[in-house]
Amino acid sequence: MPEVFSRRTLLAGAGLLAAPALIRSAHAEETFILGTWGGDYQRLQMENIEKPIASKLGIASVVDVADELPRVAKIMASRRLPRGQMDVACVQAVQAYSMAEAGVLEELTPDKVPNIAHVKAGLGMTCFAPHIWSPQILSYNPERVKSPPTSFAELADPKYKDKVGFPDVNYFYVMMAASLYASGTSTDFVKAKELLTKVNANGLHLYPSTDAGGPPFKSGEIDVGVMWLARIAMWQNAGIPVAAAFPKEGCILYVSGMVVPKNAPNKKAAFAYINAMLEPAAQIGFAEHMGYLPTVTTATLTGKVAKQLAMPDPEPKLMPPDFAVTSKALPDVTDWWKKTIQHV
Amino acid sequence: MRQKLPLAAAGLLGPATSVVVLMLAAPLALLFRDSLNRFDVTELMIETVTAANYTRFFTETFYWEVLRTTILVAATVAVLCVALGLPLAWRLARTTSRWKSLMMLLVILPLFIGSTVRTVGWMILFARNGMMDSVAGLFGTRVDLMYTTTAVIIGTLSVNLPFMVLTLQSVFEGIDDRLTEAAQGLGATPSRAFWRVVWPLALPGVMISAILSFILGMNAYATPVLLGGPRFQMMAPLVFWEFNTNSNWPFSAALAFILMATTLLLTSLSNFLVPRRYRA
Amino acid sequence: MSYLRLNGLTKRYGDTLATDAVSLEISKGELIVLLGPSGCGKTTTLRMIAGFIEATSGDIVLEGQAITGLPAHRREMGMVFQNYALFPHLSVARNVAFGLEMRRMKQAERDERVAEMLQLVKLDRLADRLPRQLSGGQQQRVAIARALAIHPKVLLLDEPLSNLDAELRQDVAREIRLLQQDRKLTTIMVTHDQQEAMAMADRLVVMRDGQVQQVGAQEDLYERPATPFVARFIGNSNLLVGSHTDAGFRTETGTHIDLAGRYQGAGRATLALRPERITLGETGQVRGTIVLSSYMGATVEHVVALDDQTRLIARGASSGPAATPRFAGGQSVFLSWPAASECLFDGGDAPIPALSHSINERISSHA
Repeated sequence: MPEVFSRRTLLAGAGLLAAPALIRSAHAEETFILGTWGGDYQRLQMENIEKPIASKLGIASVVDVADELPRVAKIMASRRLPRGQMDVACVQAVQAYSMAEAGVLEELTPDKVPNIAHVKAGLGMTCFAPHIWSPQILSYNPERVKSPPTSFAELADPKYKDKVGFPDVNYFYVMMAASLYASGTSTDFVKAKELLTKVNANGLHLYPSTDAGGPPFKSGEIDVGVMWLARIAMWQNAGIPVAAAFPKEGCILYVSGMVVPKNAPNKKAAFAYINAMLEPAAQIGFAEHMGYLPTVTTATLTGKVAKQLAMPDPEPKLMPPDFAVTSKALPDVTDWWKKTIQHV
Repeated sequence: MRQKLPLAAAGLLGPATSVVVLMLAAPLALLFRDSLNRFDVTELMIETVTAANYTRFFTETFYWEVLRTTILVAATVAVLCVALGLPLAWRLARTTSRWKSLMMLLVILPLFIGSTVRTVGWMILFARNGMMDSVAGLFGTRVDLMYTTTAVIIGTLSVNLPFMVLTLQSVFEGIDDRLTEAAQGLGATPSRAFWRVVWPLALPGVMISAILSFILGMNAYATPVLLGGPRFQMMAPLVFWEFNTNSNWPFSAALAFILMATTLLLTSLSNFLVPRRYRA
Repeated sequence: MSYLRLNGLTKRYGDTLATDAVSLEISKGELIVLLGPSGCGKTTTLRMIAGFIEATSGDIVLEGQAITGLPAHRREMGMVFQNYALFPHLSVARNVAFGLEMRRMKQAERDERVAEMLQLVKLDRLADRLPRQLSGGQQQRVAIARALAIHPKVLLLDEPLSNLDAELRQDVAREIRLLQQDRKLTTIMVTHDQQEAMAMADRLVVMRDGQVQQVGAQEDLYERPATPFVARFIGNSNLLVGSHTDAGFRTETGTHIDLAGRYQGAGRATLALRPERITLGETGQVRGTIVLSSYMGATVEHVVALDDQTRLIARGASSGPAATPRFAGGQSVFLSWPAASECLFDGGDAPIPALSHSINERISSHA
């Protein structure tokens, strides 16, 4: 391969320079480097995984906070180094898929991570331990919408004219949902484009962040939208009049989890940490605080959160994205979104 | 002795120059190099030399429109900045009040708060059922400013105005008040004295602060994203979109270069707006 | 009737009085100099006349019309600023034309007037230059031409010589005076330099702490100072503080001085003696010891100690029939002076009239 990945080489260099800052004074316990998002997610990781479970195993994380793409770039850039920069990296399933394709990830098997055996079917991959997941549902204001929407196509219904909206950052998942309605698969973007064009013409509101997608339900700006079930629970807890409706065509899944690079310096600790993450207690903690569903069959929700996150009966079709197709389609869909949907 | 002088000067300038070259020129050169590469979905960036990224920008009307919006917003903000900042700066420069330092503090105060936080403040004002909308509701009407060009202009204006007032105030303070008195003594009314004497002398400084505001406006990111919403397109958010959402580093590098070149070009053209004899 | 009259002009800044009831009568064509140390209120007075400062109370009356409330641009005053305040972005000619443009004078007439003014100050060749391309002296001439171009009712000069080189000053002072007399310009000038004031003024106004101390011609101020301050400020009189009786004057330090004149009453007093009117010799009114002797060219100056704490300066011609002999340090001498050169002030700083000489002259000068 004659090409040189100059920006990755550069990032690797930057990573090496930054490395000393990451090394905490050595305690008796074994440290490992955890690449993750900042904010609530990292706080909950500390409170639900590390403090109650992992620390008893004698491991402690050194946290490398960054956005997902720089984290992925860092792993890709240092993949040829004998000793990598990270032991555990938190990524979405789609990123895990492409990194696994590139062959930079360690396989996670029950002999390394025993709890992997309990992972629900359809969420995991050979190199990926799913941490949290949430189905994409139709959100609506139960005070104003008397009969809940039943399919994605209703977003284009004139009765919701100027009352449809969702956060712009989820555009790709919305496209997959449209495809699911139109074709039964998550990857027919030609049909998805047709449907989204109609939704857009119906007076679609876009919001610049996930957080900004909630208040419009309260202010009456929108009545229906597309969201993660997890967010609905959070918004309900914040007093926003919003409820979830499961579309009859099924739900695209948001799955986020953890991976271990092949050149991770402390794989033993990494496996132990991931195993702790899959413990029922840790899983239930995330459900209670962020509204995400447990990824293991061993964890059972109870009380209010169980009600908020309950699946209808019969359980709807749950469909993880088809990563092999989506990663290839992403640039085209992104460009189309920018120039068609975002363009007034 | 004379021979040694340039050497000594070079010695003094050397460290600063090399820091600038290292910290500014080198990354720019790398960025430019990236902009000539090719994007690929799996490999992300393939090293080559192609003008395709630039061609893409100049052949698609979408990007022209984004650039036009960016220039329009930046220029409008610059003009409004001058119009609003001028009287304020003039009063501040000429006041003999003992509250002057307090007034200065009030002008600078917004700079102590990050522009993103200030923008959130505007969001609370502009939002549906927000403060402005609620007040308008009392009169039976609606104010729906959120996610509009007006909101972006107001937001950017609030970010740039303190800089404008500060620079203009020092421009005015550099102009001897005796000149105004001399003009008035010769029969000029206060307003004629201002326009005939102070204004021409302040013009180069006014131009510089307008350019400062223009550059800040051209590169605005947080305000257009938060107040303009996803449908409002300006260059800096577009650069980030291509870089982060699309992972298309070569194209976002090209966008960054086009933005920078446009800003530089318009800035140097604006110089011709000031009559030659007034130039510093 | 006076041309310009200041009537109890007062300017108050908070608790401080910048000027305290300044009253003045100025005749047409007269050059009046406001003189005093910095902070005495002279510049404030000038700026109130120009209209740049509003008076707290009092009136300014020009040609019988009160102009106190008139804004600066309607007062028709020609002001020359200390730093000249030329418009840096306008050529010399445009600077001079500025006031005419404000009056919307026709182009042809304006050009003619500008040319005349530039010729007057001998700058016709530099009409197209910018102020920064001129020397200090040239800039000042532009400022004068600019002020005169509008044919002002009064010319106001604020320390016009202070920004010039020492060697230029006397020439410029003379030129201004000649121009003023030639054109019969009513002029008010402000300065802190008494020599400059003496050289140029028709009459001088000595100010101190916002108040007028004395108004008069050079000779009035010099020969008959109204207060010890004027005696000191004009011509650097020796001031001795003490008390006087019929027997003479006694300094605070106890030295007795025979006075040349005779004065009414007795009590606290200040004696002012002009250095150049003191003669050193073998007899006199008081005895002293030479501390320092300096040869200054045209004059010889001696510092004489009357006692441990009292020193006087005596100055005399270095040659000619009235030449002062030179004394060596430590030598004992007698000091004497004529009665007319002796000024005595009472405890309230008012002059005490002499009983024995020239009462008539004093009355006539105050008329």
